Amino acid sequence: MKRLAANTMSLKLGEPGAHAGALMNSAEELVARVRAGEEEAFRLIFDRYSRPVLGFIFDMVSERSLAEDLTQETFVRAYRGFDSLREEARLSTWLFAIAKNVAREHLRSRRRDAFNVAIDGDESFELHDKKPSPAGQLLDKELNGVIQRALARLDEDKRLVFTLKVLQQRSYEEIAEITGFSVGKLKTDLHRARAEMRRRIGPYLGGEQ
Amino acid sequence: MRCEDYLPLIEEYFDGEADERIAEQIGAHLATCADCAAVLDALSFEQEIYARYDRGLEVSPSLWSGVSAEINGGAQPRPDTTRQSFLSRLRNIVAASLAAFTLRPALVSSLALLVVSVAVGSVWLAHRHAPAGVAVATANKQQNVVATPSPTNQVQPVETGGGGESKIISDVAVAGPGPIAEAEVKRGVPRASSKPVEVETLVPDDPQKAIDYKPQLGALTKGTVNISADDHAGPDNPVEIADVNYRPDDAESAPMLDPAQKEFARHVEQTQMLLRSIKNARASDEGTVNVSYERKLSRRLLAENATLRLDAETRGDKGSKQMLDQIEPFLLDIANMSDNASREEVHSVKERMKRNEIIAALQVY
Repeated sequence: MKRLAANTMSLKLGEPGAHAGALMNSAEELVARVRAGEEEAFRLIFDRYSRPVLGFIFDMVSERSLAEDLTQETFVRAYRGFDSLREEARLSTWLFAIAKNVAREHLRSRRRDAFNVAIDGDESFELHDKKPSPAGQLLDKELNGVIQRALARLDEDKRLVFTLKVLQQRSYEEIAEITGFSVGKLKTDLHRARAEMRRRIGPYLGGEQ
Repeated sequence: MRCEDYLPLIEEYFDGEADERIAEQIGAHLATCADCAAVLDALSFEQEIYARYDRGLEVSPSLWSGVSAEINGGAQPRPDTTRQSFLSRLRNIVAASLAAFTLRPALVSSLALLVVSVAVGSVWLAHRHAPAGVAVATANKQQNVVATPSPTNQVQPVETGGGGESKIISDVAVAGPGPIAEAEVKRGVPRASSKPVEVETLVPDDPQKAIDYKPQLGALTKGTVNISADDHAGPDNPVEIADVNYRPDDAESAPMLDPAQKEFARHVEQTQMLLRSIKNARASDEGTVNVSYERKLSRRLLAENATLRLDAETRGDKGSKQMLDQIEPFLLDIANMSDNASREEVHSVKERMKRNEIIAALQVY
């Protein structure tokens, strides 16, 4: 399924016309141009997808600077592995799959580091949990922090599925393709992730959940 | 089927992933079962909250530079030495040191306490030496705050070489204690080649020039299941927690986007919220959907859409024009619905939204 998003992602308000040409290029055309050795076409792909990919990786690793490094790694791998892209129309899904691999590899290596047990442990995210705020007074800024902390506490599979579905609005089919999970597993993980998130952010939303 | 059978399917229904036959059954059940309808409402409410989640991320120009260098064989690291990078390095060093130990909880706690004490002490000392009246502002929702007192007391925008989510920060007066010790004024819309402003500083109070600025934020209240674009961006919905004195003089000296671009970004955001509201709408017992609010909003957005499109055309901004072209048919459809639209009528719009993935397109914008 070709996503319309792919044709609109590269709109850049601040640079009128600078990369507007990207809109005129379908994913298939861009892929063909990259395969023909046109680096500018890869730049257009980067412009189009770097923001959602960066957001996705950030949600997975919870660290801005690291997310930028891993986004760079994602696009470098994509460029070098362009031949492995079979369905050109699924460029976006393919990029997210690479991003997922890059993020998971990092998380796996981090898990080997004993110190991160403490970093990722529940203790790190209890700062505000004891003080629910009235929903009407919750600033977006604080909400962002609450969601980020709650996301970071999900286990990796749940975080992956939740991020792709709820935050990136991907379909089950695409998530299955990106993650390699069965649809059954991703439904279960998504349901549990939503429940956990609800439990963690609920106190900030009026305490009804 | 009974409620226990429907409950596991409601999420799929909400996600638009239930197959048509099941979706019809669920829709019919939801129209008659308040408990299951409440589950769907809760999902809609949560999605609204998540739609507001802003990571405060921007793609900096150095990111492409790094990619470009690597794919061209240079393999140069990105020239990005942010404070967070330093913290990351510091953390790695500490992690490596601690790895030598067996991480007994008492040891870790002691070390953590020591680090926190040193940090608190440093902050206290820094503040003690800072001039009175320093207001700290942050330019990025997720980044650490660095206060840099300036002898000239001028806002010091970071030259980004391409714009970006320009965040013009002025002096901040936080009214009363609370979880938020910072306030920010967000200006502009995202651009790819940008780097967020990281540091802002104090500015002198100038009551003659200062105007009161209220951050635009809607109240997060249970019960506002239908997303109101006005809640998100309307100037009628201020937050009472903090007051920010926004100084137009400073804004002019800082990198920011022109009003047309900001207007366009706001329009896209409101349209996204409207479409989400339609996506999450469900029929009443009578098989109708009350879309009176959405209709009204849609009519306003439709008029705005036409103006913005003309403006984009005049400026030769093909990208914006194309986006507005895509939006318009949906706005037209919603504006032409009756206040109590039939289930089929709404379903037809939802189907086209799903097919065209218009919400995703707007979201990634």
